[in-house]
Amino acid sequence: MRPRPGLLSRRALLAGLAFAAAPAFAGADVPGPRVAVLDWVSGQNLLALGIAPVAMPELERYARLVVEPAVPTQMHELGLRSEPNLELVDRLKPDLVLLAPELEPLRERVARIAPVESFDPNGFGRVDLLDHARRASKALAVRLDADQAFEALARSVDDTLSMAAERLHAYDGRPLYVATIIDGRRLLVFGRNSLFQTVLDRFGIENAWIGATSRFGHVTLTADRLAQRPEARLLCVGDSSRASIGALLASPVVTSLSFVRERRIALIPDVLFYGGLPPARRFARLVSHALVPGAG
Amino acid sequence: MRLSTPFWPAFALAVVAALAALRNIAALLPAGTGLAAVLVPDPGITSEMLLHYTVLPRIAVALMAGGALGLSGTILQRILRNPLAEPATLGISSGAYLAMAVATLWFPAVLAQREWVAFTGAGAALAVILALSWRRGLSPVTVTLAGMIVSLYCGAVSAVLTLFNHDFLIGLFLWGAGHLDQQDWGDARFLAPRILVTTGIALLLLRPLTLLVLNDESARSLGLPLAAYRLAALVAAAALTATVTAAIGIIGFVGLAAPTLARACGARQTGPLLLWSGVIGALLLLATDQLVLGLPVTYRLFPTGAITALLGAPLLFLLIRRLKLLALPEPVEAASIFRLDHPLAVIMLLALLVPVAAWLATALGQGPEGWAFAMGDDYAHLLGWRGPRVLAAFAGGAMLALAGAVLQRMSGNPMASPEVLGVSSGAMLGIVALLLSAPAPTRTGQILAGSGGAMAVLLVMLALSRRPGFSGERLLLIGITLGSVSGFVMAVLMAAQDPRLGQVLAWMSGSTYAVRPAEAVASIALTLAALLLVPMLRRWLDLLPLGSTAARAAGVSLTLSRGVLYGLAAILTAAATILVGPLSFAGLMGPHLARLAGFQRAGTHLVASALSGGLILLVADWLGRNLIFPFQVPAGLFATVVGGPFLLVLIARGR
Repeated sequence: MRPRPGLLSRRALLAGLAFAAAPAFAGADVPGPRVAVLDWVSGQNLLALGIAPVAMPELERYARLVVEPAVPTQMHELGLRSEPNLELVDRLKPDLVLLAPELEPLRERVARIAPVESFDPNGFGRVDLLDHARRASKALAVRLDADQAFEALARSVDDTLSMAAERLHAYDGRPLYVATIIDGRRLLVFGRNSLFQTVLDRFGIENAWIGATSRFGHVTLTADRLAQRPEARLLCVGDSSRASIGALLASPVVTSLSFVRERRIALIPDVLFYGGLPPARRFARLVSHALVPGAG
Repeated sequence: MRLSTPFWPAFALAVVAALAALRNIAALLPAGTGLAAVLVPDPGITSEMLLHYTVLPRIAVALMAGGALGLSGTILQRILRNPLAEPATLGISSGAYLAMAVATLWFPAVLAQREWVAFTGAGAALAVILALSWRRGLSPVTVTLAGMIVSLYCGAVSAVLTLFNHDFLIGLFLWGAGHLDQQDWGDARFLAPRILVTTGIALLLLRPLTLLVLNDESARSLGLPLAAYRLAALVAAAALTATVTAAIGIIGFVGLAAPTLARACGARQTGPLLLWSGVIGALLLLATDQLVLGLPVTYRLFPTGAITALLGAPLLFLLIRRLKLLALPEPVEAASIFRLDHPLAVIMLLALLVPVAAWLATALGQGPEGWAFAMGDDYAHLLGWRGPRVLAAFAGGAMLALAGAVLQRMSGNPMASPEVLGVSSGAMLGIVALLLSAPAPTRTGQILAGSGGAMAVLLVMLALSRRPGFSGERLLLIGITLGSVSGFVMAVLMAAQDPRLGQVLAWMSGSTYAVRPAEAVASIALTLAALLLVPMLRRWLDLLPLGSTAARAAGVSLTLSRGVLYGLAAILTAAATILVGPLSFAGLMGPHLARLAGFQRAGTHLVASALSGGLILLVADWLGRNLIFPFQVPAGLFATVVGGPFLLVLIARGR
């Protein structure tokens, strides 16, 4: 099968060529432990601690959907997130491999490569997702002798949260639907127990969706369900929302809603809806600028 | 009670549908609302807007779509002379799905014309099938086979796209799961004129359809231009399904269930059968949809398509014993049979090829420095990673091909690929249930859950097969029903945006990624054991295709032979599914390839099927691991994407 644009990242091919050209790929330019990650959440949290993993899956897609912290250019591509290439991880000889809970079935084989460390900053179902995320990041930092990096990360998260809170003093206090528009008819709505709402709770912003949600705090809804809270505001997450919002707004029921008539709609770029401190920090910054536009 | 017409069952369905619809409308309508408010809603009153723009068009769309699918299913079952045929058989929904996936990923601008994208995909799939079977005068067996393979092929390509891009395809998953929710009258306006016209055309075909059920000679002797009428009927049936799929997405099962229920309730002649299938299809979909609307809101939307399968399956199950089966599809015509002179020598050659291929597949591969041929210690180390995958790929392919060959010979139905047994659906449901209930499933847990699901299905089916009235085609029908239930569970799961989805997706695509060494060795042992059984089964499988009378005359106990063969196929399918996921293609490709290569007697055909099925998967696994390294394409998908066109060409040549 020939690679097609989109199907296979061009960057992955280039990275492959780079391997071929490099005489040694020990990655000696990175001091400290060489950690391989098999999922984005671990990679994102590790990068937030200032430690670049030696390898991570789907680098190009990460840059598009997770965005920050950015991936350094010398990182190795591991292929699909569903099947990170373990043979390649083995050949990169990492000192440690981080394992997310959904990859637990791989533990036995990963343990042949290097010591395995579980990492789960999500803690869905807990009372306070941010507290759980903080503890998970701290434990990871301790394991990697990066206590100072953790302190810096925690400070940065706190600073971002308080700056956003300050900015959101000017918010009009309307309840907020937080959603990704899937197509012209349906939305992925993030409810009370989502990571996004945990952040919004810090700013005293109420979630407009009060119905059931999944373990991850989201729910798939048809557009007409938004009619339940006409006084609300709609916050659309992700660039895909930008493309499909036109179709959504064209439907008669949605058009008749007051928050559509009065254009109470805000858009922010992609943020992962799980993954602990880094996506929470990104969401806080983006949401404060989207809800209270203007300089500063 | 003897049922002579489906009037009362249809009436009962209509009552259920009406009650549920009235309840849903009453829940929305404020007291004292007049008819005018329903027809011309006040944009300021949300409940009136909701009623007029969501509830009413939804009822209209459900009735039209269900009727069209029921009609389409009946036409297909008659012209293909196959009681298992349904709209999906012609690859229409999977063609539409693939077109939608391609458009979503690369041409998002054309998605504004969603209906036409889906319609184009459906049309292209049909065109390929017609072109391939044209030379064989659109014979039912060829059309069916070509349809199945085009369907599998489009499905595999879509699955590759899904695996690599599932982050961007949630909209497609929802579309594919069969949701009927409406936001305006657009879909209803799209459907109404098109369905009216195609239904009219279908009615014009009433007489030819009656004759097309007969075998080719009788029909021809009555002066029927066979190919022309087949073409017209196929296109009419396809147009009905394509219109529905284009407007509202993939609604499976209705097209299979409605004609089957109509027949089971006593409709026999073509005219009544068409009428009642349409009516039952419309009511079945409407009743289900209105019940779905009344369900409590949870975190996921329940797709009507999935619930239709859940509700329709028991209904079908209850009525299945009343079913008078249509004539079985004719086996491949004698003229096309090609025999090998020395089948045993060719089998020896194939068998020798296996260790060579296994060695190459483990030694040669891509690493961080590009392609390399591993030797010595390096090879020993790499064998730890590559060995289990190569063994599992071979064993998985061989077991499924063997199961497929047994089933196809036993049932005389070329569509009988192993997943029609329902055991792979059972395994899949078990694994999905574990995924949803356990936060961090282990590999051992997955194997246990998969085995549990497969065993449950196997036991139920074996118990049923002992009861009178449950045998052969009827059991396969239950298996297919189960398959559509599990397919829709998967569709719901995909649409629910679960971050753990990737793992299931990869396993579903036939990946050897997760196989551990002990499992690989066990699977090889099971394959060898099954191959050793072949000499004992040979006689049964040579005689059973000749028909039950001939087989009984030759002293074959039908109950015993069917039970043993069925059990063996089920165990092999279950083992392969749990190990490497459901790879339906190996189960089709292996046996057909072996037959086309000239292995006609049961004994050599079975062994050759197993060897070629295993080799196909082994090579597919190797290519999938290396071609776009470090990315990996699951072996099952790779085999389908590369092998599908090859098999299609063979069919088109009429071998």
